[in-house]
Amino acid sequence: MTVAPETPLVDMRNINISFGGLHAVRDVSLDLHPGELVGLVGHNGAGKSTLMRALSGAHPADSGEILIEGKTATIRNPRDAKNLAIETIYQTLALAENIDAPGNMFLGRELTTRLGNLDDSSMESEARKIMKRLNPNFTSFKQAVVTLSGGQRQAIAIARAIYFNARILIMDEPTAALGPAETAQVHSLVRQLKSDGIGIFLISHDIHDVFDLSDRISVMYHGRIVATVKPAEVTSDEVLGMIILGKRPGEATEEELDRLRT
Amino acid sequence: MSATTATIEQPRGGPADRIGSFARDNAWTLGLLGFLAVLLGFTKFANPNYGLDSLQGTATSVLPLALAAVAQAVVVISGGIDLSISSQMALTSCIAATLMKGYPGEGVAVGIVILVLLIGVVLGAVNGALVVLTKVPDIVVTLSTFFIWAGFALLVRPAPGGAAADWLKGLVVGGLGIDWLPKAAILLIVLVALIWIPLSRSRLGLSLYAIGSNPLAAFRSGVAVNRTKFLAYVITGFVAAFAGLSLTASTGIGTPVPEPTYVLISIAAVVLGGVSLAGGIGGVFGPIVAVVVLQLIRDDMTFMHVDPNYGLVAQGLILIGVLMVGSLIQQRRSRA
Ligand SMILES: Nc1ncnc2c1ncn2[C@@H]1O[C@H](COP(=O)(O)OP(=O)(O)O)[C@@H](O)[C@H]1O
Ligand SMILES: [Mg+2]
Repeated sequence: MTVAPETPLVDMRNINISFGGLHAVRDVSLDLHPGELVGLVGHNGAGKSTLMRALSGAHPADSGEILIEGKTATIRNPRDAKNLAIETIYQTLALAENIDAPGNMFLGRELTTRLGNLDDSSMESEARKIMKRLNPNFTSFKQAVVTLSGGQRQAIAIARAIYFNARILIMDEPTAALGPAETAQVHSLVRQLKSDGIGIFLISHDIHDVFDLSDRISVMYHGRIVATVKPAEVTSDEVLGMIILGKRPGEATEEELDRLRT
Repeated sequence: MSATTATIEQPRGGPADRIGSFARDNAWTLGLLGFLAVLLGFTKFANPNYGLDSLQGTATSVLPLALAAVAQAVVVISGGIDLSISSQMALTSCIAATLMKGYPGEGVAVGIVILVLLIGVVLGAVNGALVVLTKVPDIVVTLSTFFIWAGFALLVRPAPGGAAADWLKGLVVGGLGIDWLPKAAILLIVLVALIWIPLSRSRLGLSLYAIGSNPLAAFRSGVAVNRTKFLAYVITGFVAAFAGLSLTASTGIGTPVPEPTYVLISIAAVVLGGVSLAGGIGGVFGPIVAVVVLQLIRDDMTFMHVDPNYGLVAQGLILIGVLMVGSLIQQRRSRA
């Protein structure tokens, strides 16, 4: 194992989150380095989204500690997270459908004129600049985003993150609602962001995508992290085994592995 | 983040294109205006005596309703609803009429108007705080406060009465110089220009549309959802107080019993005016035009000696019809 010399961008320590009696995240520790992509996998309900919501401020952790670049951070709501340059891209429900692309990009952090009015023309020209980089075919800046395709909407969400200089990006199944071509577009964006030094947590159900994009893969099972592995050091079958059985490759019995194969 | 220098980019052409997109964004309101023109023609036909000077009377009687519709539009755009608007109007109107009884000096009357507007803000703040803090559905909260404000109105004025300062009456009754330019219409335009236009150009305005479109997305974007929702009710209360004052101004008295049809009309006007009851869509111009349309329909029925009770039936039917058409359009849009 190579030792990363720099302080991690994100260092989550002993995070616990419960919903009533349901212990959704149990004592999870996880870190992320600049330019690194950590894939989070696990079956439905394993606690991946809940863990990430603690980082994005959507649902603070019950206990545990989050360090951002070595400093203890208090993340109580999405605004706190955004102030720490943490941005989140969701599968759905991240845009206000009846508002246009520039309005959505700047929602909550609007550009204003000296008089305090919304500066629509600046917001639109900034949106055009960034979209030119991300998706040159995008021209629908004046329409409510409800009329746009899933890929276009996801491009807006990503543009928003980049515009505000995200250093930490959380992507919770960002391509689950997209077709193959749009998914490929998002993937090439993800690689671009990584090379810009942004740290990314990617939750995905597609093992092949995760293998393709990740520097490390963390497998969650019933609220715990089973293992964190490098794609080069494991096979996708081994990762599938961890997802389904909740055991490291060495710990699973031959019998259990056999049952998986059938 | 600084307000960057405005590099105004005009990607798709000049003024013609601007007008094109204005027409597209406001197609519903423009259609409604066309319908209003047809309706005015019909009114003239049904009642040949309806002349340009009759517009004054229409404008004066429409003003409180138009302001009620603006008040309702703000809260509906934010994804809420306010059933207590008509009793907010009754209460503020009664307070104003009672304090102005005995015709105090003009300066005092100005003070009374300001006080009544502040009371409107407080009523709205109570509605907003209850909706945000108790998480009880807005319909239930504002139906309850409907009765509370109505009760207060009866405590203030057990019977209709009081007075209105002359200058206040002068603001809404009659024409401005020429007969066909009703003062009430001018006042409405000024109030809307002073309240709605700055609001819709502000961060709060965008937040109202955002929480009405999708509260979760707005929250995730960093919008203070509860604060915005609260402020929507405050603005509604403020505008409802203007509506109450205009009632006092146009009738010269305060009437403690809230006109039950006002709430229905404000909701019908908002929906007919292109505001989605689901929130996040529309503005205040459509609802204002819709109020005039609804008023003319009622007037025409009177001219044609239709039982006024059928007028209520007709308005209820229009509301249902518009809601049905609206939800059909909505379904079409989301399927596309
Ligand atoms: N807001 C919530 N209230 C109650 N239970 C929740 C809530 N969010 C998630 N859970 C529960 O927590 C567990 C983890 O869910 P989640 O983090 O969404 O899993 P994943 O993203 O890995 O599919 C599940 O059992 C889920 O039902
Ligand atoms: Mg999930």
